[in-house]
Amino acid sequence: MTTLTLSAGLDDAELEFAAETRSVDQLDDHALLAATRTGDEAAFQELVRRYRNQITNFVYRMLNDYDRAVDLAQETFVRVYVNAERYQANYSFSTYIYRIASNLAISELRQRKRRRVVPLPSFFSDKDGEEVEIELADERQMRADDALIEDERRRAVSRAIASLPEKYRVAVVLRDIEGRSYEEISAVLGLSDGTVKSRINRARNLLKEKLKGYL
Amino acid sequence: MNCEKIRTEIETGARHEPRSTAVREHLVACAGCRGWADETDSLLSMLRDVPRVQAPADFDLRLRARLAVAREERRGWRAPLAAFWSRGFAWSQAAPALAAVALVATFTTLYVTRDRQPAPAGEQTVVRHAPEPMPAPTAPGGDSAVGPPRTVSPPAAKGAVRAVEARPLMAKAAPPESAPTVVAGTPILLGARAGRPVLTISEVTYGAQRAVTQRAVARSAAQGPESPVETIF
Repeated sequence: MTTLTLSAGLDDAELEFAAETRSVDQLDDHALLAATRTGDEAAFQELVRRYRNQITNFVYRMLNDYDRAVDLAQETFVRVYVNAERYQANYSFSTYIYRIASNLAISELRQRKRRRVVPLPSFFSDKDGEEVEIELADERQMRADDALIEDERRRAVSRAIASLPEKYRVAVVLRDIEGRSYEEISAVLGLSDGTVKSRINRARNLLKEKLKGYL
Repeated sequence: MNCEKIRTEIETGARHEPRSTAVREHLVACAGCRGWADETDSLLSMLRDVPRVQAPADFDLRLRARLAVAREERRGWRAPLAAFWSRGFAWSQAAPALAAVALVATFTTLYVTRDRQPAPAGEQTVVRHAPEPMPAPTAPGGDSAVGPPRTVSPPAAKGAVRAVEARPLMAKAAPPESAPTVVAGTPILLGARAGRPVLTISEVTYGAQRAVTQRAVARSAAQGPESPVETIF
């Protein structure tokens, strides 16, 4: 009865679109990519919706540069789309897309190292390139000292992560920020479990040294 | 369990799972590991609390634009191939074309190789130029087996013309009045007669040269046996 009431105001095309949307929502990643291969744009949009924030955040933590992170996140999806026909479901789709994103991020870091590129501070960045949260004046007045301390702590963490060597950075970001399993990180980076654990351990020890004052 | 194993277990443990009894008991007993575990927990907590950035609102819009560009680029280099395959490939259609290609290749090969057949013995001499004269060693008796270009009288044997005007191809001295020397690897005979070098080249035919040489021989015969052979080329 409810369905009838809801659908009463919709024409056939809208109903069809609603059915497609519902079915796309229910598909798993592999099925969505298979549908993308056949030219199903809605399936690809659903993949983008599922992963755009994760990939953007991951690349941002790798580069500490939001604009470039968005750019590379988009490039990641372009590569997924263009190479959809070549995708083989040996790994989970998330492993696949993180692999593409991490390769792009590492490549960018290496290019920057060669070019010694320093990202220009954006409109919402301070002189160190840190993102500055824009807040209303009364909220700022209401903010307590611990909030300022917390803010400073977060910036220190961001700086510490950004200062790690790339091979340690990618491992610790995937594990401790993105929450990926060791097995998945091994697959993303193409390394053995032992190497991944060793790199994460090393990264954490470096972070402990850098953040000694905040721990 | 020793401290190292405890620390490894803490490090590799799942985020939300409680620590095992052995680990908990060890942490109670070992102050060093307890301090290390507290520090690790604090670090992991800080990393988890790092604010996550979100994709911008126009992410999808910009992505669609990039995908359109990527599709166009792909279409650019794949279009001719795609058009070919979209018409449908059939061996029945391709067979005549392949046969024609094979036929052309066969005739071309035959045409190119037909003049490389060895010529029958006793035929005409080929006159040709060598690149540049090489320094000519003087043979005993003052004769040079090889030297600057000169005209050599044709022999009167069986009407076969061998005398040529030619620069020597090989700077190799030959004994005077001796039997012809075959220079290894070349169809050239070097010798000397009456103190003059004689260069005899067995026939090598390059395409139309045979006809030209035959004309030269005919002209030489008409002028008499003593007349020098006209130089061709």
